Amino acid sequence: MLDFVAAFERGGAVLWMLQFTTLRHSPLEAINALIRGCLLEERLGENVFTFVPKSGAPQALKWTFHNGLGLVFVAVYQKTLSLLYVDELLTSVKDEFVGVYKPGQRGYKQFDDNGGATSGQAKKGSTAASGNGKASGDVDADDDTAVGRKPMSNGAAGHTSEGSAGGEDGDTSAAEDGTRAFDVSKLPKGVAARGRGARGRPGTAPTGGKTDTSSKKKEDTAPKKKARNWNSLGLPSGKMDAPTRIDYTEEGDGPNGMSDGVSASASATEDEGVPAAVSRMDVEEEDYDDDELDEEQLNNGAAPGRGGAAVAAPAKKGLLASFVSSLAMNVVGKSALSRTDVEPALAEMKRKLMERNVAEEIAEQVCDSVGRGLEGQRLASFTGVASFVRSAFEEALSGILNKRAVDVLMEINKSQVRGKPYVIVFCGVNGVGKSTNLAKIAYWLGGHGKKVMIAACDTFRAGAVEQLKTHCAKLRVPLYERGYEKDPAKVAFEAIRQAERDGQHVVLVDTAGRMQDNQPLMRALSNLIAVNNPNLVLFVGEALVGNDAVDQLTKFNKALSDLAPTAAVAAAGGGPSARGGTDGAALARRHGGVIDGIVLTKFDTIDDKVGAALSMVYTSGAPVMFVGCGQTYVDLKKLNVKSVVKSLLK
Amino acid sequence: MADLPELLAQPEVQIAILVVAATILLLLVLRIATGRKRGTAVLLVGPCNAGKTTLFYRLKDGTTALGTVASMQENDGYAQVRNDKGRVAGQLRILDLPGHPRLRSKMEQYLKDASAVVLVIDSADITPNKTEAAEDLFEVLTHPAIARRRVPVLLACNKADLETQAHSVDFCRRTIEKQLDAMRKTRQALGGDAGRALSALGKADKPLSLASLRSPISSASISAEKGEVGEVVSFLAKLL
Repeated sequence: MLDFVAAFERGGAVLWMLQFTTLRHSPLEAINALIRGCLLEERLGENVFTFVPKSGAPQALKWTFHNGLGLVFVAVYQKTLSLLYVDELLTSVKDEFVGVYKPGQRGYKQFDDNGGATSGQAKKGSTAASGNGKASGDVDADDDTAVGRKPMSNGAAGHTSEGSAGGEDGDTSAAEDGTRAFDVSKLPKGVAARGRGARGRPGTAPTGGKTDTSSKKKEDTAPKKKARNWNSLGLPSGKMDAPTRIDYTEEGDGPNGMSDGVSASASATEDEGVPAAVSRMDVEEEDYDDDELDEEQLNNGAAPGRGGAAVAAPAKKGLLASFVSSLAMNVVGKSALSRTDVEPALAEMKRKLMERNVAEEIAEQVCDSVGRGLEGQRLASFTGVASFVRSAFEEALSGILNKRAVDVLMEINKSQVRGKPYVIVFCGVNGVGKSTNLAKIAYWLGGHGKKVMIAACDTFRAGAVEQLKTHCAKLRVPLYERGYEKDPAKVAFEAIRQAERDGQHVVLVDTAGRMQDNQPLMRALSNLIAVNNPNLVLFVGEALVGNDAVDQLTKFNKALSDLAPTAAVAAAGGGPSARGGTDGAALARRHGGVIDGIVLTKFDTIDDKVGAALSMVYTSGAPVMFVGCGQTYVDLKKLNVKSVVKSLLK
Repeated sequence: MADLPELLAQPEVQIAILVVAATILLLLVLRIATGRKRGTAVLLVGPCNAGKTTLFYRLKDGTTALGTVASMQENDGYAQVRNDKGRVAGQLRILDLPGHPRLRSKMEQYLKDASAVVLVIDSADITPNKTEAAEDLFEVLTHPAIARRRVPVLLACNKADLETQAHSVDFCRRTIEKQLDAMRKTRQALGGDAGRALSALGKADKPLSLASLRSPISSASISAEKGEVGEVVSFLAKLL
């Protein structure tokens, strides 16, 4: 059963909400979880989000955007039910809502009336239409649109009800609360509830009993069905065709009159269609090249020279007409961007990202996500599509990379107060520089007055212990080692005990490098982490890595949580206090993985191919905490997000 | 070749020199004027779920309507500021910045022309969020433009309506102060904060005290939900 439907602005103001069931938690909680867990993480590729409230069954959330107006529409229902009509419900609510939306206005009570009209009761429709007209001020214009819109969404609603009725009859009857005697599926019921609310408010319609409503409803369903079918054919086809129809107009043979349905896309086609009288294909390309050129000009600081550049580029190709249209588009600004407009720019960005060594999967996802965010947005005057897309990418990338890193020194201070050593475990594949960077971090910590101890838990590779011995001798740091052929988990455990006795502040645990597919070794590592419960698990990855970064991190994260002994998992999941300080625990929980941070090594060897940083952060959700950029102890830095983003988009 | 004095004696040359001198002077004056320019907007910053957007709509419309969810973009609007006598004294542009860590990078660009900053914190939930709140304040205070212009900062301890759970303003202020002090030490240690005006936080060898910083920092107890925002309004009124 649908729990609630809501519309809110990207800025955070809830504009309209309709609740169908009583929930134990505030409905806004689910939306907040959706925003934080999905919409802000640039993970728009998924289309269902699951929210698990503290008490009660998990809920599924579906959403849709109106990017032009910056609106988000969300529908929430119980996860165990698979409601088929939710997508269409959202689209029809969106279409309806956009009609009444006014920027700055915050209450949309009258939209309840309008929503009531969607239920398709012809009688009520007229009162709602007048109510709608009254509310929005201009009676005649709005009446027309309202009438035009209403049968359409009736169609959508009706169509869906038909579609879902068959599939859901079973649970409908089970979940039916008996007070309402509808035999239609849930959507009309919900909408009818809306209609009822609407009727109660203006007081114009007779406030008849429920039987009255339901009987009316039943009466209506019969004649409605035909109308519904007729409309449902009209509407979805109109929607499906919207993008292709844009293409028709672009080629110059699509009649504009045909687009009576979706007004927004119709206006878009008109706007595009008029200047692009020549060949649309040419214009598209011309426009794009032009933008690139302009961008270069702008980058050179020659903003006023823009006009000149625009003149020069098409003149070379000798296509005056396409130049005029592209100039018109650039100067006047485009009404709304469609996917086809941004597609070439997105492809270019994807190519650029992959050139910078971003894993293909990630580049694809980021581009897709940014593309979705751009659809329907308005292009400002004097901005090209390419530079617009670029700025969107800049924002998205710095959003991804800007993670709140654990303030290690502060955390160490905290556990120092408690008299416990702060334990950091380093893990990663072979030869990425775990020991080297561990030594660098030991040097850095030592420089800030922390007493550091190193535990040699690489009991596998020949010479690993000796390597650490040399580092320790140089850094004047105690080393805990038990030679080779020992269980690393046990060595780490004993090391931590030793450190506690000696009053050390930090224990750095070095582990053997392992390939992410080597299950016995991964099990050993997860055992080490489960037994010793370190405050911080750092994944060491080299910046040279390309597509493998995703695989490494997902497999490490997965293996560490899946392969852990069950008792330990229960302990780790049971109390937040089990994992070091409270802040650290909250952070670990926040991105839902075992790995808390990333050490990016060999950063000095990659020039501008900094993509690994993006791949790793995107995959794991953990921040890059240290960047190794050289061979000596002092070559340890923080990640400079700005310069990484800059070189990614250069 | 004419002599220099002879050249200077010519009226054209004198005029030219005068024009050049006047231009340089004008540029200098402009530079100083723009350097001292107060910003244009009041920023609402703070951790997630502190009540920034609610406060924003409270100041702008006087109502919070259906409530708010986590912001994904900034809110921009003008608020009528009334003085103590209840008359409208003028209006101010208010910018509500999203508190989510992902969107914090935007703060940097808005801080450049901030006329004042309101740090909204959740006084009922200060302890788990003190790191984030202090980080926000750290970023504000060490921003070069803020440090230079001595932009006033208000520490608005929101959700005062939760009487038994809400901590006192004094407690919030001290918590943030302590956290900021710890953060200053660790930040200096990491050394990655190029371009940050760490000196804005006072001398490194003395414990940090909010009262002695360059930017005036005041604090207030408010409830955006219930409409008790008088202290914020009077803070804004002082800016006019």
